[in-house]
Amino acid sequence: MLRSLYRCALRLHPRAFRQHFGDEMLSIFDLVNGRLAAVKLLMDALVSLSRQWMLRPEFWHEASPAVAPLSTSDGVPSFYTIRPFRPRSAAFIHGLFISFAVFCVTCFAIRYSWIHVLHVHIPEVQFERPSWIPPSHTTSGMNPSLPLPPLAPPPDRNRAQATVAVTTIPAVEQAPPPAAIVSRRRSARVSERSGPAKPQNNPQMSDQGLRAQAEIEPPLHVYEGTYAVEAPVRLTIVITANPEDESLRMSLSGQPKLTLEPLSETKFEVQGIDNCWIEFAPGDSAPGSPVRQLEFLCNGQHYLAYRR
Amino acid sequence: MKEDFTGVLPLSPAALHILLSLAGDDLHGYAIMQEVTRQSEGKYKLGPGTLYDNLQKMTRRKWVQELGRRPGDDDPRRRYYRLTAQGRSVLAAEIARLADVVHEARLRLQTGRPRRA
Repeated sequence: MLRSLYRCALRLHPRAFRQHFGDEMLSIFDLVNGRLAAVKLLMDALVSLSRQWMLRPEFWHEASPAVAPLSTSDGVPSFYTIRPFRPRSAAFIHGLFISFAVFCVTCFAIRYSWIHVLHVHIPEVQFERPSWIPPSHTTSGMNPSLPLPPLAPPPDRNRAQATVAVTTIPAVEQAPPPAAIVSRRRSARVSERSGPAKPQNNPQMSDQGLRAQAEIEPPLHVYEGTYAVEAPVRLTIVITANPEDESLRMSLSGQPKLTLEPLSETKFEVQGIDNCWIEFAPGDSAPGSPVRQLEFLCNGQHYLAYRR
Repeated sequence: MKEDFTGVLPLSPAALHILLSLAGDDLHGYAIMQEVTRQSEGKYKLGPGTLYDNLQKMTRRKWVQELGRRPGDDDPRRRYYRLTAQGRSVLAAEIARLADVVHEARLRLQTGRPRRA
């Protein structure tokens, strides 16, 4: 341990000093006995280290002085050659492992660091709730004077991937949850209004498609509540859900309950009154949270109601 | 012609002991350390860092010549060092300076001794 530290201290010396005297200093360290003497030599090496770097800049790049050839007893000078250096096999293996570990750590840091220097984009599949049902599915058989919602922007790449992922769900699945059954009924009602026998003829609207649609439709309780119209007249609209047929009902103040027929996910037609619709504004909070406001359109009049 | 070493004198204790050690024989670094300890009777111990720092300076000033390794030595990492003529002159000048200091000190100590009436 101390010898390793001593070697480390020698390695930190200036190159010229280390090459010239490093081996000799290490040989002296090997000759001393006792831990205390080794510690003293280590301290001496540290002092020497600071001295060489701070007080001996003139020796930093000095080449080794020419060594006078030693004459042996027979008078013939002796020469030394530098042996060819080749690292050990163990050193190669250690270098390989260290390089691989550094490479892995670097890749991990690039992927998960919060500083995205390289902007590596890895697409992820996200399921988004559709804001409306296309007009081709809902307007057939309806009043042509019904205002249509604006066309949604074309789906982006991630949404297309999500659609592909949904339609490739295997057919062998367990029974859908109750919420899915409720949403399936609502979807079926919408399909009945939009056109007959769509789910049977269209393979894309099969059970898998309904299940996928059920996963994205909100439950009915998000619409339930009391909404108040402040202007131009004061009006109270109560929305309730009928658990038997999974439908919504509305009642105006002092009026009997009326059934709401779904035209889309957020738009419902009031049964029994001509040219009357209710459209719920989707909430800006998390999915499944109650709707905050609705628009009541009746005979060309527009009322905006807020949840109490 | 006598050389002037006033610019390098006085020598540091380490340099003086190293030159004094090499005055008798060619030595390697560890032998120099042992010889310094012997000369000072254990009162002055030289570390490898100080030793080779001084040897580096003396080699550059050509006071000491590096001889390299000896084939028959126990440790092939050892290098031997020899005192040059210039180094010997420096050592002689330092010894002479120290002799003057000692002589002067003795005179002062004798004159400073309290006289009996």
